Amino acid sequence: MDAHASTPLEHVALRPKDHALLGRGGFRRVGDLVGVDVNTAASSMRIGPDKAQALLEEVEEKAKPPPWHSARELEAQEHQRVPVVSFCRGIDELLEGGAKPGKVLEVCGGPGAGKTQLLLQLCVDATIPHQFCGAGGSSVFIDADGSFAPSRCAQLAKEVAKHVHRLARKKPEHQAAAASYSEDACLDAIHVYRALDHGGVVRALAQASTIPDLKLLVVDSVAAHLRTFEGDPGERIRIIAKLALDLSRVARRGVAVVVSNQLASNLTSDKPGPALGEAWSHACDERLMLQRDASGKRSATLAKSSVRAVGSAPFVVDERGVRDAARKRRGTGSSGTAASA
Amino acid sequence: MAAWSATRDFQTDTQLMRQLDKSPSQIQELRSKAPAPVPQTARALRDASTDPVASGFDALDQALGGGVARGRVTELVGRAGAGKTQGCLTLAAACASRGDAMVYVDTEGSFRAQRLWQVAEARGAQNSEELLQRVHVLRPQNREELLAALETGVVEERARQARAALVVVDSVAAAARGGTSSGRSDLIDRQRWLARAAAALKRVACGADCAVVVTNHVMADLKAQDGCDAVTAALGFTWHHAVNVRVMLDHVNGRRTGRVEKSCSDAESAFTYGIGSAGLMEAVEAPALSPAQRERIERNRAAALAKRRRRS
Repeated sequence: MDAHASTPLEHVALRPKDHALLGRGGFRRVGDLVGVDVNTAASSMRIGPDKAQALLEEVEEKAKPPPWHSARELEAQEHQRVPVVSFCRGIDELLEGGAKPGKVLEVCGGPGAGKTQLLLQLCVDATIPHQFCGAGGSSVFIDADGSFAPSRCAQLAKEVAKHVHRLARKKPEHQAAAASYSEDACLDAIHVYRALDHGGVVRALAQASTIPDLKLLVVDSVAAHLRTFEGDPGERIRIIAKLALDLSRVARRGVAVVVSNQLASNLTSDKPGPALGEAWSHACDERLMLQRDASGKRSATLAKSSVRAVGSAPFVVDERGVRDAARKRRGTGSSGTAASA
Repeated sequence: MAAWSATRDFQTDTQLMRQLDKSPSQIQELRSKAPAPVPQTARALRDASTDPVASGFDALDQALGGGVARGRVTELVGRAGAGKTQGCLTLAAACASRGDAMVYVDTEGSFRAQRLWQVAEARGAQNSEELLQRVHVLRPQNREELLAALETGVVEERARQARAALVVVDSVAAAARGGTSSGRSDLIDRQRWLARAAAALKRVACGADCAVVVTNHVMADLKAQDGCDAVTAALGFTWHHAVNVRVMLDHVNGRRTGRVEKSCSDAESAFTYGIGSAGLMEAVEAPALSPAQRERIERNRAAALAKRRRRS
């Protein structure tokens, strides 16, 4: 038998009671169950043959080793996945195309830095049809902060619908796809959970996978309810670790996960840093820091990434949503020069 | 299958497996069956959204996109005398004049029913008795009492029963700063209190579908480069993140200006205002400063700035 047969049965994900039954029957390794007669197994475990049959099948199913992938296969898979663009070229370049499916991106920043706006923009963008380089799916917004403004979301959706129709004029073959896309269609594909406590966030995460065609999941913000946690610090770390696990579980289904995090004063330096501590910092694959200086200029800085060097990009939030800073200035002409003077 | 209890949200799969004797996939199934907050599409939310609560002072309403938003926490922040309480009273008067009820939580003892009526009368209200009946005032003695009123649902219940459109807490800073311990432990206590109060206020806003307005004090902005009199909102990061919308009220050289510093949309606008019989209202042109006055102000400013530089 191969190496797989020597896997101890206690490493197979079964109910604790079933583990006890197998132990009673004298079965220690997966190989011990291969070719065993059901009736013999049933009598040695002192259970009925039906139950034994079900148990043996369950073990066979669950004891399968995880499949191997070649890097080449994975590379092809990564190419197929469409990232969710932000509509700000600078930020998209920093993120190599946008929020990537299968990854957890953290957007960090002080109050009023533009975190919620960026998250809203991504939610709207995830609904853009494939033909127009969008992810063409639905998105989930888990609102832990109470900052989801439906009217603002509708405003962004209207702009994005306009953009899609503009593109469709140049490409007559995609007219049909554009015709079925509108502000209402976009808003229909955005599902909002209002989480009033941390349990609400956790339960929404568990349930979000039932949403059909989910491409993007957003949590605004992960720190909101954890800041009210009182009690054992060890318990808090465990809760944070579990949240990280839940997020990566959603991401592994091919969903782009974007969470916002608050800033907190920290004990080791005088500059405020991301909340929730070191343990949490490992939970996200990429970290984008948003800043707004005293004059109101906004910038995004990539602080952590698995694919590229860090860098930063300016952006603006205007009535259309999150956009490039440079293009805005050219577009508005006189008011731009007035601001720079 | 056993009913889901809230404590399980915080437990890991391994803990639950042991406790409930289930396999990991069964735990996943259990979790997905737990009563989750029901998702709503953005379209349904847009169609169901109610009008914001207007103050009747056009400049402020415009800056906020029609008024203070329901379901959210809006903060008025400013120096002593900037008009924070006047802003609250203006909102309260406008709300009560329209026939809506409201809840006023007064932690500083600055609420005056007479002043409220004065503001309402200046805005054309007729019947003082009816109007004042619609304003439900709560005066907690300390911050523990306030938090208890928010967390146990006393405020939410009242707001829902009276169909209130607005809940005012004037001020959060006074309540938060009124702790009994001192030094570092008070700082930690206060941050915890603020985080809990913020969460509770949002539950009230969401549960009773009303606008929540809170006021906050300021502290000296030590990082500002441009002057010695710069101020920023008090209470620290936890609280700054917690409010959804912030309006800074300030007066510089006799001119009162308000600015939306944080919002749920792109609205970041400034407006000028005055304080008069109708509460917050259009600015009356202030008498121009004489050259001598202006010179004195400039001199004082320069002196204070120099002193601060020397110190640092």
